[in-house]
Amino acid sequence: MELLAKAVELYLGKAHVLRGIDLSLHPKEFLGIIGPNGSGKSSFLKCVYRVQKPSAGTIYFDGRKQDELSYRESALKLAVLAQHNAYHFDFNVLDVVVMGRSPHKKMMESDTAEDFSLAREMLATVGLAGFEERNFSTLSGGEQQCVILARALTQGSECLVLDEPTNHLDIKYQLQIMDIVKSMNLTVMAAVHDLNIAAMYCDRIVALCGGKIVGYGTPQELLTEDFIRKLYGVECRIVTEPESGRRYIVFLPQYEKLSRPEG
Amino acid sequence: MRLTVRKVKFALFLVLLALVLAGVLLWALSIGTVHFPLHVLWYAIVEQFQQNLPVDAPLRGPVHDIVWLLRLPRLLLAAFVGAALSVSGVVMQAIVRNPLADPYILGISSGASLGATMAILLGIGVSLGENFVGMAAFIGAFGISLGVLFLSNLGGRSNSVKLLLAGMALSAVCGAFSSFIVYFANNKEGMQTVAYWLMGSFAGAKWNHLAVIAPVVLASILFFWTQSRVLNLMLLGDEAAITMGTDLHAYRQGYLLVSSLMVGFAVYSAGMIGFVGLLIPHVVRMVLGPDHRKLLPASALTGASFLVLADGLCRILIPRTELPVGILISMIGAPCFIYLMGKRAYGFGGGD
Repeated sequence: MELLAKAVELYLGKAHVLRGIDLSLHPKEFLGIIGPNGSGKSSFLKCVYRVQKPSAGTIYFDGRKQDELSYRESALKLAVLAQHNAYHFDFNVLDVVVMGRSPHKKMMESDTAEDFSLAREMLATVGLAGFEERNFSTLSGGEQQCVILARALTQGSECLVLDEPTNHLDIKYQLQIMDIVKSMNLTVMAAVHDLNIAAMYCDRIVALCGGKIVGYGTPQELLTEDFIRKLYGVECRIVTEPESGRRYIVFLPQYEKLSRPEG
Repeated sequence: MRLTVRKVKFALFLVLLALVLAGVLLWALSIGTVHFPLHVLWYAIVEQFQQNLPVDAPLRGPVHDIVWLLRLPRLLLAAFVGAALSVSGVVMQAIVRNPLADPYILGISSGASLGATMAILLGIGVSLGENFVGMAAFIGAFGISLGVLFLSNLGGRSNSVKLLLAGMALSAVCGAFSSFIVYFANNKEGMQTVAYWLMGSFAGAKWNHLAVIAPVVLASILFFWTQSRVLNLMLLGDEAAITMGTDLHAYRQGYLLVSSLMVGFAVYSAGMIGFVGLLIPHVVRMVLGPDHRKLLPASALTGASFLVLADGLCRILIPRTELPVGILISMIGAPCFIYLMGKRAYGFGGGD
């Protein structure tokens, strides 16, 4: 799927959260969005997946204006893995995953055997085969997020939006979720906090600050020591791991400058 | 193939629930001041279908009159009200996305009370016919639902929290007006009538009421059953539902109206009957899980059986006296509810 955002603005109350975002997402591309807290990453993604309505500007899905599409049509093009998925009811895991088929269904249509086998297949893909009958709310945070990923995959959309999906997860699940998403060869737009994860998985990265795009390029072009200092105000070194040739960002603590002289 | 096995299992479960309902209905038909053995009952029931006479034709004998004019309409009313309240409870819990909701949570009860109080103490709406108190309660209940919808849409789209707050606010207003009327009317007899009416009872059931209520309740239940998919999505919340292609806003409003209509009719014919709409959805959900495709029909049948059973018990627990059914249900319901709350294995209000 091809996604295009033109001059997207968003006001939340009086706060000017997005100040004219222009960006494009090409088919099969893995686009990362980075930026400090409050930079507008999540708000922009919410506009993309239609939970927020942009105050101005337009977002196009495959050349069609977003608000000309029904919610069902956009759900068929784009699935979402977001941060918060706490449910107050006892769904079992398979129930949650098979709900991903919702946009394919008419009101009265019930889930078929194919829907269930697709749901099982996706559960196996995220490494949770055998969890079908477990109670969703009793799973660990990482497992829950994997179940939601399975649901998003079951939706069968070409494009996946990840809204900081690996926050609060341990390193195993952070890598596992990104690996699965990357291996599915989808069009992906992901807000990512961890710059090393962004560098490992993204084809291109867009950096937001104060609701504006302040940087744009491949991880190698964009993630320099200077740029990271400007964007986040932290010190770091870029090092190359000799065996794979991968570049990693190593952050440098500043407590020595902060500590008061003794006496 | 496991899917079809599941479906057959569930169908059998529904048949079982229907048989329980039939059994409870027969039991409740046979008991009371006069006890009828099963064959007498059977004869009285079959005879009505064989003879092509209206139910209320004169000179049909005492057995016929007790079965067909006193007990049956009342029991059927209990069954329909039970089904209506249980289904409405299920729907309300989905609408406000909170397992502690019940049919009255958005202020329907205080709207109905205000209507009934105004009718009984001020004589408003006497021209509406014999059950003008019920009519006034219906208008109060439905009116407050419209008010809640309107209030929750002020200043942006409504959501479940705004609905709850609007419900609370209007409840408080209606409650204040009811108390105001009771205080200044200074009418002891009227106050007693209000109190009695609020306890709820099926004693006033008539066939011509049933002819209105039954189709409304059945149609509403079927309607909600067709909406199972959206109701399931409601439990996941607005944002998740949008990412799966459904904007819940309009559905929520529509469901609220249909549910208030159904509950309004229940209030019209039987007054305020509490706890059923809270308890039954939970009990059924504990057995079947939260999927509305299963939950709705099973809750309807269970709720119906429960109220028929409760009404039967009301007539025999204290000899020669009839206990108001609302009291009995609260007496059974409250401890059951407390038990449910204590049982943490059931994810009451979320796992974490």
